[in-house]
Amino acid sequence: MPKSKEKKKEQKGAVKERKKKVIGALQDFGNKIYGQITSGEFPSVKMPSRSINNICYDQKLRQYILGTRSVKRSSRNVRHIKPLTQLSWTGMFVDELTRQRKTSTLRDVFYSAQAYEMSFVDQQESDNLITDLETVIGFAREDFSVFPEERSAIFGDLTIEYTLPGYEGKKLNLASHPDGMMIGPALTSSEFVGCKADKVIAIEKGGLFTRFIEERVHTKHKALLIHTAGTLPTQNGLEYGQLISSTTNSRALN
Amino acid sequence: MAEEFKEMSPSDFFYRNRDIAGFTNPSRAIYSTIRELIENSLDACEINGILPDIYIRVSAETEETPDPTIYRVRVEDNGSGMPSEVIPSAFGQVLFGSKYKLRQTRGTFGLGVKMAVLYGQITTHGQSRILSSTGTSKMYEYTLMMDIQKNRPIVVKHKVHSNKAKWHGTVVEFTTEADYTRAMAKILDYLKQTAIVVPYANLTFVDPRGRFYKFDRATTLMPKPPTETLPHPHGTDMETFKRMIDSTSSRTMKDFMKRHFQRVGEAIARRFLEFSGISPKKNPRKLAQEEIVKLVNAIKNYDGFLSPDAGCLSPLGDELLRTGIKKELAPEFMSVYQRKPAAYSGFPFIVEVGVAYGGDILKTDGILLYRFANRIPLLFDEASDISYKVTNEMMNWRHYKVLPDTPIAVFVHICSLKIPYKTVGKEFIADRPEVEHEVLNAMREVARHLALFLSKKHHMEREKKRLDVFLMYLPKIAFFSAKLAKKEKVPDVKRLLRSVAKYAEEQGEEEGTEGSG
Repeated sequence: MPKSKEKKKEQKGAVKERKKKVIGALQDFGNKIYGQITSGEFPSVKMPSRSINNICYDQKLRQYILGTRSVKRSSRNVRHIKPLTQLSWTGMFVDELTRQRKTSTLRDVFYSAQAYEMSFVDQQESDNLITDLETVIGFAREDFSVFPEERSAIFGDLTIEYTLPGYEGKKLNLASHPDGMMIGPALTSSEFVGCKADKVIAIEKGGLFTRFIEERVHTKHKALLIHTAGTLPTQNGLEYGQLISSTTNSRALN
Repeated sequence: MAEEFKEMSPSDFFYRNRDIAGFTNPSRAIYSTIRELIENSLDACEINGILPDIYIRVSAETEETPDPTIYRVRVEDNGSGMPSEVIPSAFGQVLFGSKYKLRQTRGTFGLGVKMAVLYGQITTHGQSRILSSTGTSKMYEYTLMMDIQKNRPIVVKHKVHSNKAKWHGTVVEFTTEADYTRAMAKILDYLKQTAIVVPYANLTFVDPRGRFYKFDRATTLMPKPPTETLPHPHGTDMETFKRMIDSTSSRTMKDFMKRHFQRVGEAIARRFLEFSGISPKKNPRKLAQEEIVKLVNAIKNYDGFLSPDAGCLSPLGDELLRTGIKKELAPEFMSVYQRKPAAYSGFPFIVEVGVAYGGDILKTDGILLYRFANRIPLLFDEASDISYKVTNEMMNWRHYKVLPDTPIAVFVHICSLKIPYKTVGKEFIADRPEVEHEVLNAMREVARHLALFLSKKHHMEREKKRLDVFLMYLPKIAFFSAKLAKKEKVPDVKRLLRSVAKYAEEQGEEEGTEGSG
C-alpha cells in the first residue's frame, strides 16, 4: 500500500494504532521468511522496484510514488543472500526497538550490526537496507523507530500531547519557545490535540526561520512554520504531510 | 677443406686452453672437476645396468687457509671398474676416440676427467691415485702423473690388492686448487638436479666442513642403456670420412657405404653412388682427393637417406621423469611428455618435457626451469639456452591459465648422440630450429594438461567459495526471521544447504591428482 493512503487512514492521531500496525507488518515479514524455510523453500522477498522507470507522479496524492514493477531478492542467489540476511537482521533489530519504545539513528543501526556479527561495509549500506525495509513493510523508518541525526524545527500554534514513556499525557503548545521546537522522536510520536493555523510554511534557511518568528508570521498569517535545515528528510516529510492534512481538516482536530 | 692437425700433443693443447673444457678459474674448476668425475662414474654404472652408488668427498688440505686454496677430491663409485692395463691411459693420457661408432654418453670420450686430473696436477704438482677393479679377485692401485708435453702417463706406484669381496668400481683421488666457497652453491645445485634426473642413484657428498649431504634413490628402475650405432651420413664430416676410409676393410664403395653408415642398404647405397658419380665398385682406399671431396658434398646434398635411427638413444621415460620430479618438488600436479625421435644434421635426438605445479615450488617472478642433456644438469648460461627461449619467449602461458604468480616448474631433457651445445663449455643448448620445434611442441602438450588441471581447480575453488557464502548466511536468516516471527524454534537450513552444494566437500578433497602424461 502506498505511504500516503496509509497516512490518510489514521489521521486521527492514532499513533499507537500505527505502532501496532508496524509491529504487525514486521512480524508478517518474519513469518513469511520463517514459513519459506520450514517448507524447504529458499526465502525471498518481493519489493517495489526503486529504479527510475518505476517512479510515477500521482495526481491525487500530489507526490511521486513507486509503480507496480517489483524486484525479487532470493537467498538462492549468491549475490542477494547477504542483503537479504541484512534485511532480516534489520527487521529483527527495529522490531526490538519498537517494542521497547526505544529509538535509534541511522548511524546507530550501522554500529549495532557489529554486535550481531552482521557488519555493514559502511553506513551507506545500512542506510540502503533501512530504505529496503521501508519498501518491504510499507512504513517509514520513523515508524519503526529509526531517525536521522539531523533535526528540523517547528514553530506555531499547534498543541501536541506526548505519547513517549514517562511523558504520557503532557501537553505542549509549539509556540511556547521562540527558538522553535526541535522535531525528534518525541514530537513525531505525539498526538495532535489542537491547531489554530490553516497553512504550513516550510523554510530552508535558519536565518529566515528566526526572522519569521520575530515578525510574528505565525499569528499574522495563521501559519505553522517549519525549518527544514536544508533538504527535506523523510521524517520531516511525514510530519509535513500530516500537518497539511491536519490543517486542511482543522475542524476535525478541534 | 681437409685440414691436418698441428703437431702438438693433445694434453699440451688442453693445458693451454683450459677454458674450453670448463676450467676457467678455481671456482669453475672445482665445479667442473666434481662434475666430470660424477658423470664418469654414472656412465660406468649405467652401461652395465648397475644401480649407481656414488660417494664424493672434498676436503681442505691445509687448515684455515682462505679460498682459493688446495683441496683434496675423492670420488668412489660401484661401476664396472677398469682392467689394470687401461687405467694409466684412462687418467694420464688425452686420447681421442678411435672408434667410429657413436653412443649417447654424458662426457665426450671421458675427456673431462683427464682435464680434471690435468688441472689438479698443474695447480698443485700433486699425483693422482686410482683404485679400481672389475669384480675379479684383484684390485689395482695406481699412483700417476701426466707427462703433459709427451701426452703419456707416468706410473709412480703400482700395487695389486686382493679383492675378496669381489667389489667392482673405481676410486679416484687427487688434489686441486679450488675456490670452494664460491663454487659451493652451484655444486650442491648440481647434486640436487642430478638426483632429479638420475633418481635411481644414491649420491653422498661430504663437504670441506664435514657436512653430509645424502640423496637417496627413489626407484630401482633404470632406463635401458644406450647402444652403439653407426653414424648417419648427414652427420659425417670430411675428417671422419677420411678416417673411415683409412680404417675400412671394405673393397668396394658400395660395401663401404653399407658397412660404415646406419640404415644404408643395397638400394640406397647404389642410388647414392649413382647420384654422386662414383662407381660402386671403386675401392675406397683408391679414392682420389677430389673424389673424396665430391662424395662428402654429395652426402650433404643427397636427400634419399632414411632419417636417423633413434633406437640407440636412452631417454628417461615417463616413469623416471615423474619419479625425479616428485622426489625433488613433491608437486600437487605434474605432466610429462616424450616426443617422438627427431633429428638435426644427421644426429637423432629425443626431447622429454615435464611441468609441475604447486607442492614445494615457491611462487617466484619467473618460471623455474630445469635443463638436462644426456642426463646431466645444465646450470650455467640459462638465458642463452634454447629451452629458456621457448619457455619465456615463445610459450603463451596465459593461454594455459598460468599467471605470473602461479608456482610452476618446467623440466626439459634432451638426449642425443651429439648434444647440440652452443660452445664446448657444455652448458647451454644451441638455437637449432629442429630442437626448438621439438621443445616447443612438447611444452605445449604438457601445458595443455596443466591448463585442464588448473581450470578444474579454479572451478572447485569458486564452488567452495560459493558454498561458504550460503553456509554463512542461511543460518543467520533463519535465526533472525525466527526472532522476528516470535517463533521459539530456529528453522533448520540443512536441506537448503545440501541442495546448493554441487560438489560435496569429500569430493573436493579427492581431487588434486597427477594428470596423465
